[in-house]
Amino acid sequence: MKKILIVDNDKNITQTIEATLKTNKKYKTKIIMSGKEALEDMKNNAYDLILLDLMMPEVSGIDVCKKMVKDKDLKKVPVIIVSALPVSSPSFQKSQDKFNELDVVRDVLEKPFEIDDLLSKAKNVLGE
Amino acid sequence: MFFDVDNFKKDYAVLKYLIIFLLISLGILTIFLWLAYFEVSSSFDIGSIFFKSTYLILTISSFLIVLKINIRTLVLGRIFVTYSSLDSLLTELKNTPDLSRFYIEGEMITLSLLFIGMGFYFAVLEDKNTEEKLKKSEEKYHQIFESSPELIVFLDKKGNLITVNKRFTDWLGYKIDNFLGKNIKEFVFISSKSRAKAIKNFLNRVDGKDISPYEIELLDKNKRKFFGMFSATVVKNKEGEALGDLVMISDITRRKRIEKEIKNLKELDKTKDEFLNVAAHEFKSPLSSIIGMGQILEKSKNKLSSEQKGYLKVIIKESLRLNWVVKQILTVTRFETGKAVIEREVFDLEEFLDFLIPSLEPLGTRNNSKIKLTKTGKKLKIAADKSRISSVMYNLVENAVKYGKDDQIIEIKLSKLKNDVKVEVIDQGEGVPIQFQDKLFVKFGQLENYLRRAHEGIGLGLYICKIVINKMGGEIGFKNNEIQGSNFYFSLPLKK
Repeated sequence: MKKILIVDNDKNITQTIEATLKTNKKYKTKIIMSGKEALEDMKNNAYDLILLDLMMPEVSGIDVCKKMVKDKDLKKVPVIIVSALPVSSPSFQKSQDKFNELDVVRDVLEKPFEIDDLLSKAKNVLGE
Repeated sequence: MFFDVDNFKKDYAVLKYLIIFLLISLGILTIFLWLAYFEVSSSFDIGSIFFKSTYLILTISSFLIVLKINIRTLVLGRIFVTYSSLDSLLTELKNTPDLSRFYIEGEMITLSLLFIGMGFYFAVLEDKNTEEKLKKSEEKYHQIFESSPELIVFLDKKGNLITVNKRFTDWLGYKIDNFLGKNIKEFVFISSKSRAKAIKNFLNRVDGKDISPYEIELLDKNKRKFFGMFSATVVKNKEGEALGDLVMISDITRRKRIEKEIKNLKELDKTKDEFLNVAAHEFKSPLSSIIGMGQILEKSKNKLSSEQKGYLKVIIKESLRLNWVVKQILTVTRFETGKAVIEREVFDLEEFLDFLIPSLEPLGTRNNSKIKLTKTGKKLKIAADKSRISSVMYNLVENAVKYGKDDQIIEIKLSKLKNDVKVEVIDQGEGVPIQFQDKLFVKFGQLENYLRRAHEGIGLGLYICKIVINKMGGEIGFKNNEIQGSNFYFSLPLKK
């Protein structure tokens, strides 16, 4: 059983991601709709993978990653960024402050995504 | 008293005397004629010719007078010279004071007349001429001053208006008289804000600082606003002392309006880009849910009837199409707002296309098009962005399929030119109709033919190809094949 945390402030997106992941019986998911709450939750619960949105009010996805990198336990948790921004473009990554230093980020996925892409990326990162 | 020719001939001294006088008179006449000719030929105008002819008549008459007096002298002299030679004449003159006085007076009159003639020429005629010329040149400058398209103002050292040209009235509608002698501080035809600036600059200029031209706001009689370019020069006399300020104001109202319009349009264009960017991003999240949920439903096949499966296919297909449009709009706005970046990587284009073509082949399934790659067998190293080239190839091949005929062969032909590599995508369709040709690479080029168009797309595909190829230093173009089909080609510079 793999525990996956979905962090996005858009309810429909979280449902879509959850529904996609549930097609694989081995995945157990949890949904949190803000960066701040996600960081709180991660202190008490261990996850195998975080699916993280970038554009969220107050604490953005980048902020979450920055905090995770500094935490000795959380820095081992892999993250897949799921965003409507052109996250896969190198020029976008360069434009974001220290994006490349965020070791927790293992992959990126641009919205709108196809479910097979999401499933294969999750599979890769989880090392299955 | 009469003239005796025989006696005259005998007396060589008198003849000599006559010839000397004649020569002197002729000499003077020649000088005058020469001067007159010089003057007339240097300025051919009615006034000058009139004065010259008057002068000529006077000269000739004075010559005749001189001649007459000489003859008289000669004749008078003849009375005496019948008795003797020139020596005896001189003796006689000496001995006869009346005659001598008369003779000397005659000569003096001759000379005075000549001097009067000369004096008249130099003092009166020449002066008249100069005056005339001055008047003319003054008139000329006055005309230039008055008919200048620029508003010209002359200020004294204190900033009081000495004169202003007619343009002032024509342009701004004020009466010139109302401003004569008024100080720059009272120039109500300059808006108060601009006037403060003009006064400040005027004072700086008086102190010798150089002020480059600047823009001011002008108000006409009816308080309508105009824009002027204000430039000024200090006018100095020969000694270098400042006499005043020559100000020129040119009308730049039209230019300013156009500039403002351009600025507005640019802002509007920017707003449009931003709107498209935000809108496109706002499309992305809902599309994620539609596509994602659709595909999940599709996977749970067994619960749906075949009819429902058909509906679902339409939902997924159409949402993917919408997604493609959103992506295109975003690509364009990202390029136009300067956010998109072209990556540079050195690779062999022939090898890359060889690798790429299998992924393009599925595009041809809809009408059973096959892709054939014609290689050069040479090294084709370029420094470019692989993903951008893929998207250009995808676009061109997709068009070739869309507009080509069934079961066609789409040829992708590579050729090595002197400094470039050329890639051609040749289909076997009907070619591009002439009315669409000049819109092919234009943004939203298809929209104008919206009602008549038979194929999907919003007309951004080729526009994006053009941006991308140009950004990589290449050119993109099109030609119809002679027999059938169209030929879309692009070139990219070879890496040396």
